[in-house]
Amino acid sequence: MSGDGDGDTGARADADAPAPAGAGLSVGGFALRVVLVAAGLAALGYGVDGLLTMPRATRPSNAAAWLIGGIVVHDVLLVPATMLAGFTLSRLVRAPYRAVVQGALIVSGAVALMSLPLWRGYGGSVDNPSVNPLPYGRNLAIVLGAVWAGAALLMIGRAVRARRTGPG
Amino acid sequence: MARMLSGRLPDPPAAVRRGPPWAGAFPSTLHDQRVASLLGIALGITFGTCFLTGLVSHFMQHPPNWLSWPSRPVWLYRVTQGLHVTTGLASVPLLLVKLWTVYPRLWERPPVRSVTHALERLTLVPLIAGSIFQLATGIANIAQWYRFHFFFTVTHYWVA
Amino acid sequence: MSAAPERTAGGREGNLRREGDRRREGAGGAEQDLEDQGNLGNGRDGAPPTGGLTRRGLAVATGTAAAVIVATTAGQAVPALAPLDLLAPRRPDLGPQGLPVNRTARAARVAVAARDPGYRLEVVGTRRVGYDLAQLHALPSHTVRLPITCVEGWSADATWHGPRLRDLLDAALIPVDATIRVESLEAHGGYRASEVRPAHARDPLTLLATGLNGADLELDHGYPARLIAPDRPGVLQTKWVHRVVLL
Repeated sequence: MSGDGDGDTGARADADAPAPAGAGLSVGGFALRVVLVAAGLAALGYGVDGLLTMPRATRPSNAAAWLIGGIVVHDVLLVPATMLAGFTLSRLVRAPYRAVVQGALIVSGAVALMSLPLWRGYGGSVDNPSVNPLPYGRNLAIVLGAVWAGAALLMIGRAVRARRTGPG
Repeated sequence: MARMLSGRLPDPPAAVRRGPPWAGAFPSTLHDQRVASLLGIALGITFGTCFLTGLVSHFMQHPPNWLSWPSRPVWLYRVTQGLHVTTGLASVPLLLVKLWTVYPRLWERPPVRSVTHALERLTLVPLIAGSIFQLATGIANIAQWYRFHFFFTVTHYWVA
Repeated sequence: MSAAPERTAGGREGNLRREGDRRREGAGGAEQDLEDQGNLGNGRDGAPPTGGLTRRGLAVATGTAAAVIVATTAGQAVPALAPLDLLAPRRPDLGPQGLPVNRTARAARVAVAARDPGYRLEVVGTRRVGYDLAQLHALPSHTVRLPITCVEGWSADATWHGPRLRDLLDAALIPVDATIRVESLEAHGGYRASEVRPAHARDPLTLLATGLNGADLELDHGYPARLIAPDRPGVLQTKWVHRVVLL
């Protein structure tokens, strides 16, 4: 996905590089970087060219809307919502348990998001009951129930441990 | 050339020189380089597998003349395509948390330090947009939820 | 942000946790609330105290999320995980004749043509051979167990019955190294026909199946006849076949 192989190795390396570009790179490092950047840009160009030369199938404007929409939804909706949740949690839940609640929320959010079309009942068609055939609302509840049961066990473990250590 | 690319841009006014929009805007220590790179490795594995198995699927469906797929093992495509969809789904939390750990860098000041820095930041846009796009439309497609108007397989390939 | 120095200095986990607990008790103001109190990570990875998850905790939570997703969806392709298949778009055993359908006869607009009693299968090679329904069913039938794998990720094992494709090709004098095209009754659409290269066309497991799991094919599975070949994407396992031609 997403131009992994040769394509975004360069970009990924860039994303992870601790220092901004240019600061004290060796000649070899610089050459490697140039090669990776060139490969990345070539892959990008190949992809964009492909998207534009088959407009009947790819509908470039619609694809672009989804491309930009995804990043906008993430940065403008998802991140602030997560921050708000984190802030609320920091006020509502005491520290030894907060980490567990946060962890369980991450798991719950990811599971709910990846199965969103299913439990929302989007997709499929009336004449094909073998697509999305399960009671997904119930199943999501079962999975999240298990996740939170695990979280509750962790919290109980913590409470017991804290009591054993004694107040202090 | 190298010097020109890596030369620092003139320092911006002190007000925008440092940090996120306001002090302590990102208090979480989890916006962290090491978590980010750990997740980057995990994401590299899942996305890498997803990309390679996606290529297998693409070239099985549209084989060039010089390439003939074997008919054995009979489960080969089952494995590659199962891996493709499963690693794609598993990438959802990895990608989101990874983006979360590096999110403050979106607000990095000064926004650009040099020409390479600017280009670097700019090239991240299609990378991130592409990643989110592939996961979101892939999830919609396997649920046969065709909210997009483009032909999935073709667009999925070219975006990849 | 970097690790807090006092945490990286090391020390046994137990000490660190107790220290963390003490700090927690003392934490009052909002500022400290956010900055303080480490746990889950136990400071082993040099995590600074935070308001909640440590870095290790975040990694564990993210890994758990990925694991839960895999566990509850992989069952659509992995038989052993089928009981856990709670959140995948398919269940390998749910569908007509115990097998999911990707595209129905109605969606492909072949429902009428496929049910036509005057249906004929044509195999066109150096010679042209036609079969009506009775002749098709009178051909030597083979039974194979093959998985069908959809590009959407699900896959399921099934037992298929019908004549071998290579026997049909031989009858029409199609050479062994020839690529053929299998055509569906569908009038339109990108998947109405598929090419079969020699490796698959000549494989003894490749059938022009007329039966599935001990019964006649249902309409949605490709009645009267469909291609089923090993190691081939589902969209190329052409259904409602009425013509096989030498390319």
